[in-house]
Amino acid sequence: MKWRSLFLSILIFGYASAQVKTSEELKDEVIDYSNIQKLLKKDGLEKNAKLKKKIVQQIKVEKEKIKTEKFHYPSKEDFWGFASRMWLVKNAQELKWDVPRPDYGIRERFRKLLEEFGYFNEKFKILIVDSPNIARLGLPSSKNESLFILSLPFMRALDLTKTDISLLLLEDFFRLKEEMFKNNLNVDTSFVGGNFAKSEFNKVALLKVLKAYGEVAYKRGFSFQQQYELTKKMDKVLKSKPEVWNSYFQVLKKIDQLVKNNLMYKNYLKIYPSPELQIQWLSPKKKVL
Amino acid sequence: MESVIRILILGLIFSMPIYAQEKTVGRLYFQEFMGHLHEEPVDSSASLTAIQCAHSLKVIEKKGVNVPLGWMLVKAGEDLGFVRSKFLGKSRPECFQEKYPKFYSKLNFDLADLYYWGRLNDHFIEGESQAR
Repeated sequence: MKWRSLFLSILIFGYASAQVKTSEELKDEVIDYSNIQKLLKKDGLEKNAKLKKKIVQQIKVEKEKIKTEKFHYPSKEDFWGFASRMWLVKNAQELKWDVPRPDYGIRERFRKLLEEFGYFNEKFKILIVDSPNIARLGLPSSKNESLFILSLPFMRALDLTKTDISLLLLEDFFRLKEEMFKNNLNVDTSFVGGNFAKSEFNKVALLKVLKAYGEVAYKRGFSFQQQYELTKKMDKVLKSKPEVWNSYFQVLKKIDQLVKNNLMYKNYLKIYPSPELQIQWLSPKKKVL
Repeated sequence: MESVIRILILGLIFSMPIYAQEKTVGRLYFQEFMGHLHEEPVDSSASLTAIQCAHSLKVIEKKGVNVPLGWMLVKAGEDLGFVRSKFLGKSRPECFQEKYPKFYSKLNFDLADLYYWGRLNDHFIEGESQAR
């Protein structure tokens, strides 16, 4: 009996002491996060975790950026060359440019003409068309590139020399430099350089631009004011070389006669008003006594 | 057995000139937006196939084929034809199609468009003024 009570008391004491110990231990064992934090900081683990989080965030941003970039409309620098070519492609049958072309040595003469008057590093592309519907036209492209259309029937009808042709190209070159063609399009081009990742692709706007190309090329052309400014520019530039100035003057006379006598080119006046006035603007003023 | 070996050796000897006729001498990238592999080294010559920007082409040397200056004999897939050398380059170009992939795909060009786009480069009279 004694042994049993002793055993029980020991057990109870032991249990009680065990209980106390356990709670103390528990107290001790409560995780001291601040200590761990300090330890983590010391180990650089928290810094690493933050860095990893930052990298993941950066990757997400970059991925999103790459995804968005795929939806860019062409930049201004890329758009006009693309649009001009697209217009040529879409009007290939009407313009009839997919035919064997003569060279006439235009490339060399026009290059020399540009160099003679100090226009360097200017790239140009000339497309000969077998249609009288467009006599000649400069189309916008990238910063130092010009696209030109020249009508073979028009050149033949006027019996133009390569210098004459180059002078007409120079006129168109100045028109492009002054952005006359672009200004006359009169369409909204605000989508150029934009993005359609979060909106519908605006094909209508692009088609409107191409439609406006046709209107300028076939109907609206250039204004009297633009023609006046251009003729004065040609006058100023060519005056340093009288023989070239004279060639230009003679070309205008030839065109004037052609548009007055050949019905096929009556539309020319609508696009380039007017050779007769251009001749007047170039002619020395008569002195009134 | 001996006769079989003889026939094989003879066959090998006769077939050797055929292999020697066509040799790949390099690989170049097409640099323009679109273009054509021509049957003859002439701009107006028929198109064997249309080629897109960054198309990798094998440059070929073939016995008996005289390649004029400014042109190259190349292979696009199984087609052997001519491309103007000014349209080819050693490095992969930055193509419009890759720069603006969604814009390009939304245009849905048909085969006729692509054909004419390629032909444009054949017809352009190109030049550049230089500072002297």
